[in-house]
Formats: sequence, C-alpha cells, structure tokens
Amino acid sequence: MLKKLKICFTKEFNFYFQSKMAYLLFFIYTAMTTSIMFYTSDFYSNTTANFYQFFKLQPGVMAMIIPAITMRLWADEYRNNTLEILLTQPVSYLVIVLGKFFAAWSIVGIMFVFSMGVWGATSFVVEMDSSWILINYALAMLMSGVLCAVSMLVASLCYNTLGAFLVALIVCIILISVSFGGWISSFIPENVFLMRLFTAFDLGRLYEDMILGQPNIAALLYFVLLICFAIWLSIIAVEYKRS
Amino acid sequence: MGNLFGILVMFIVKNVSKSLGNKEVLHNINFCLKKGQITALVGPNGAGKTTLMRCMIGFYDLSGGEIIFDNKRLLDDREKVLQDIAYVPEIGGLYPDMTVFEYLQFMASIKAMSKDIFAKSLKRIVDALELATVINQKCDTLSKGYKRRVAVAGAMINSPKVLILDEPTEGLDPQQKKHLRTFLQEYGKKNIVLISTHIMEEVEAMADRILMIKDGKLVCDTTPDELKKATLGSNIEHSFYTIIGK
Repeated sequence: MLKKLKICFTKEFNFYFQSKMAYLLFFIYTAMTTSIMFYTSDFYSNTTANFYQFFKLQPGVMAMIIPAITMRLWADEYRNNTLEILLTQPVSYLVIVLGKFFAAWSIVGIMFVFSMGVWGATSFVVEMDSSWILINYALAMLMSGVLCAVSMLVASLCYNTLGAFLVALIVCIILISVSFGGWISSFIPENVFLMRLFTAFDLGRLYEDMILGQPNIAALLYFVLLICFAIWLSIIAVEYKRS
Repeated sequence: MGNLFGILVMFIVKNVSKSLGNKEVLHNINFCLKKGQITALVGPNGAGKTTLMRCMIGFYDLSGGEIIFDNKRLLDDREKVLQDIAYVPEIGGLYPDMTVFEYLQFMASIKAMSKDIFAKSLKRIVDALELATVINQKCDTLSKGYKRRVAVAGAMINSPKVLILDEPTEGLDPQQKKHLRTFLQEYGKKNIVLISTHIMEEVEAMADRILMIKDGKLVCDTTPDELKKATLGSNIEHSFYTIIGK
C-alpha cells in the first residue's frame, strides 16, 4: 500500500512543478505573508521576537491559498478524462485520495520551509525561542492539513477548477472563523447554544489559542479527526461521482 | 466456472445489468471472452457499449450480475483482477503535463512493475507502436494519432491478459490504422482483446467474434462468417443493418 501511495503522491506532487503552478503559489504565499507581517502588523514595535504575528495570520492566508492548491486535484481528472483510467488501476480509492491529499499538504509544507528564511534572518538580530517557533510551525501545518482535506473534499464534488476554488474558499473562510472573529456576537447573544457551538468548533480560534501557548489536546484531536473525516467523505464523493 | 463449453474461459460477464438514473442501460448481458480471440463489440450509438465496458473494468458498479476473471470475482478481488485488465477510453486518458515517458512510467509503476521489466517492456512497446520520436514530448503537444497510440501503450505496458479498447482507431490515418490493427491482432493471439467499434471494416479485418448489442441487450454473439451466412449478407455492414434494423 505504501509503495502505491508513494506513486500516487509523486504523480500529484510532480504536477504542481510540471505545470509551474507550485512556483506561482510559492510567490503568492511569500508575498502575502511578508507584506502582511512586516507592513500591516506591529512586527517592528513588538518587544518579543516570537513570530506570533506570522503564525496568527496563517489561517487567513491559508484559507485563500489552499483552495488554489486543491482546486485541480479532481477537476483535471474530469477534464482530461483520466478519471476512468485512474480509478480502474489496481489501487484502492483510499490510496488515490491520500496521494492527492499528501501532495497538496506537502506544497503547504514547502511554503512553510520558505518562510523559515525570515525566522533565520531575524535570529541573527535577536535571540528567539526556536523550540516554540517549531511547535507553532507544527500547529500551522496541522491547521493547514484540515483546510487541505476539506478543500480536497470540495474539489471532489466539483467538475471544474473555478467552481472548486470558489466553493473551497468560502468553506475554508467559514471553517477558520465560524464565530466570525466575534462580530457575529453583536447579532446573536453569546449565551445562545448555537453561538457557543460555533465558538467551540472555530478552527481559527482554537489554533490561535494554541499558538498563544494554551495547549489543548481536545483541539488537536479535533483537527486530526476533521482531516480523517474529510478524507473519508472524499472517498465516498469519488465513489458516488464514478457511478 | 473457469471451464465452460470445454474451452478455457477467462473473462465472464454473467447476468450483468446496469441502470443509470432511472434508465436501465444494460439488461441481463451474458458472454465469455476467450484467450486468443479478438472480439468486436458493435451496436448503434447509445446501445450501451461504453457502459458495458465500464462495467467490465470496474468503473461502474453493477446493478445486477457479476464479472469474473480467472475464477476471481471483480467485486471481491478488485485490485487483483484489475492488475490483468487494461482499458483504453475513446477520448482522453492521458495526463497533459506528463511526457510520454513519464506517463508510461506512471502506468507501469501503478501496476507494480519493477524497473528492469519496465525498461524491457518500454523498449518493446515504443518500437511496436513507433513512439521513439515523441518519448520526451508532453502528451498535450501530441497529434491525435500519437495520443491514441500512447494511450494504447500505457494500457499495454504490463502486457495485461485482457485488453479493452473503445474505438481504438478513431482519429488515426489509414497507415496508422493498419499498423495498430496488425499490432492488436498479434497481441490478441495470446490474450483477450475486446474492441468496441462502429467501423464495420475494422470488425471484418480484425474480429474473430462479434457481440452485437442493441438497447442494452445482447442480440447477437457469433463469428463474422456465421453472421454473414445467417443474414445472407455479402459483408458485415449489411449484416449489421439487417440485425439492427435500419
């Protein structure tokens, strides 16, 4: 199974570089994060070099970048009429879906590796807590994994790339801010059950609490379960669309 | 089940039915494909040929019946059965951003071929289908004829025991058609080959057996000579129209 997973992963991963899409995404991500971090936040006036601003903006940036990464995962298979070929190979649907998911997630990982240059450069000027930054990178990767899995699920339900991108963008924005940054509380009282439910499952808020140093095992478990659930639903969606 | 009518039967389509939405596209189809035979699947547009082939390769779930290959049910041993079955769709089937080599390598690796066997098989298939000049070219930039040949090469890279082709010579020039037919005829001597086509000239030139399908039902299962005799036709095209009723 692992050998076939590697084959499916390599095929999907290589596509990003064959089509030059990866380079464009790396450029957009770097431009977005650096410009927001250095020019719109209080990075220079902050007295502690903990990269909090950088990690805080990741859910918002990833909600826009990840739909662009996942939008073609299934739509291209429909457009090129390769779905019949792919799904009739001696390989399980789970492996095919996992291959696509890990390829998209790896692109996010490479983006984070690129962003480490800023961390490295800042380390020359001020002393930084590297272990904490590494933990935050891991948390950002996990949060991005949820968005990748959910965007891939949306992509598996759409027939074209633009539709997959737009729907995934909306879903990701809702997912990272179910409680809508608190502004929705001006319309709905906070003690209303629905509001409390929204807040409890707000991916962005849970992530932010954790990068502020409040470890939350339940939240980590929630992230992992969301990934597994979205992957499982993607398999069902592909089986449904096939028939 | 593996030995019906005293001949080694390898691929069995048993009571296959398939509904798409509310419409029953295939109704109780039964036949066996034998090794060393090239079978032509013919029928008018919308008869259910492509649906039947998609059922045979496990792309569609069956509404009823079963597909058996080498004593293994497709439903139970999907991955094992698909290891020996290859399919070439009528349109597309290639990844446009891959080169021909990358595509063939992907098809070989997903079918668990070792590097050594792939190297030998690549040489054989590239020579046989004359793909050497385009091996490093992206699939997207190929002509229609080359795309068809690359799709066939991808399907045949691991020498599958069952080869199913939907309109294999569509878009090829006469010389390419002749070349591919000769190649498939040679391949069909040791394997099972099923070709869906509406070109009767192709049926006459290649097929050892004809399966005729109409409105989702198998209406004829015979040899080209027997079909001509039974319909008093001088050629397959005449016989086809006699049975289909146009």
